[in-house]
Amino acid sequence: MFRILTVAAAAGALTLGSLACAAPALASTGDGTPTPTAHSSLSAIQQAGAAATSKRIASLTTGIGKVNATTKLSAADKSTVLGTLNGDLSAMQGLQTKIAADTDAATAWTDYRSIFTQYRVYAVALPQSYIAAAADGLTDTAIPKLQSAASRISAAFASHPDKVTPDLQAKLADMQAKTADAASKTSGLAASALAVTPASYNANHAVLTDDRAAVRAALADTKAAAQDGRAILAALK
Amino acid sequence: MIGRAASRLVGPAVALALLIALTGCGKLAAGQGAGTGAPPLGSAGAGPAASTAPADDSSALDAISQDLDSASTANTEAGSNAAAGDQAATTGDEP
Repeated sequence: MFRILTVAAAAGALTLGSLACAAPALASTGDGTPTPTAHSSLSAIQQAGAAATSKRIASLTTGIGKVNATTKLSAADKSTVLGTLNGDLSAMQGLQTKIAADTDAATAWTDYRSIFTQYRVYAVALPQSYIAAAADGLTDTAIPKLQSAASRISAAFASHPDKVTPDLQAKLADMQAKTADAASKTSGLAASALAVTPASYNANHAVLTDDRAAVRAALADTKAAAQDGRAILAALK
Repeated sequence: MIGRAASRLVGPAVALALLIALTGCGKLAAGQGAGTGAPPLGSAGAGPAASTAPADDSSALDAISQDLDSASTANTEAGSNAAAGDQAATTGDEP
């Protein structure tokens, strides 16, 4: 057993060493696989293609599971997201098979490049899906519940004016303002994120930046509004 | 000393317990907690508004609490999704 492991380790070291000698100037991807260039060998491109597609297949599979499980995405957005993620998953599986079967470096290089330029799994597909899920969760649940809570608090203030202090009134006003601000920020946000395509990302790498910032800002608003509500509730009890 | 003081308190305590039992005050408390108790004996003369106001207040506060719980749950999930989006964008190796 020890001998088998030793031989396997030696073979692995030889393989890695051979690749290092073949392409000493290559950069390395996050998982340690050398990043090929247009001048890399067929085997180097195939190795990088296998790693890149495997990584995306795993991430897409996880993402699809999360999307299927979430109750926060609207039905329409869930359908859109699942269409994109499942389409990308099929494409990655197809590319993985094709790159492995390619017989010349030029074709393999073209296929390898398409992993990124045509699909943008990490730059577009997954981030836009998560942004849409976050935005829908705020739009469809958090914001309506905060509006409802604020309305009920207003009614409680009217019923018990003796319990209302300027501080509580200020907290309610802040809760309402933060909730309104979050509603404004998330209006159309999921649609905006889901409209981004690999092509639009290729033209502008910051194309999702504003949407990402908007969902973060809206989330900060809804968290602050919920804190206001909690403070008021504690004072009313 | 303590024993003698305590024995002097036994009589009034028993009388108070009997008073509470006979006037139905004990039932009022039990009924509010369980929601199934008989109406308190004194509630008819007090009028519906006076007898239901605390329950209304309680249910109103409960409703506010439930709204805030739902909002907080949605906030937490939205935060997880936003973080997952950021992570996907930063861990990728997109050129």
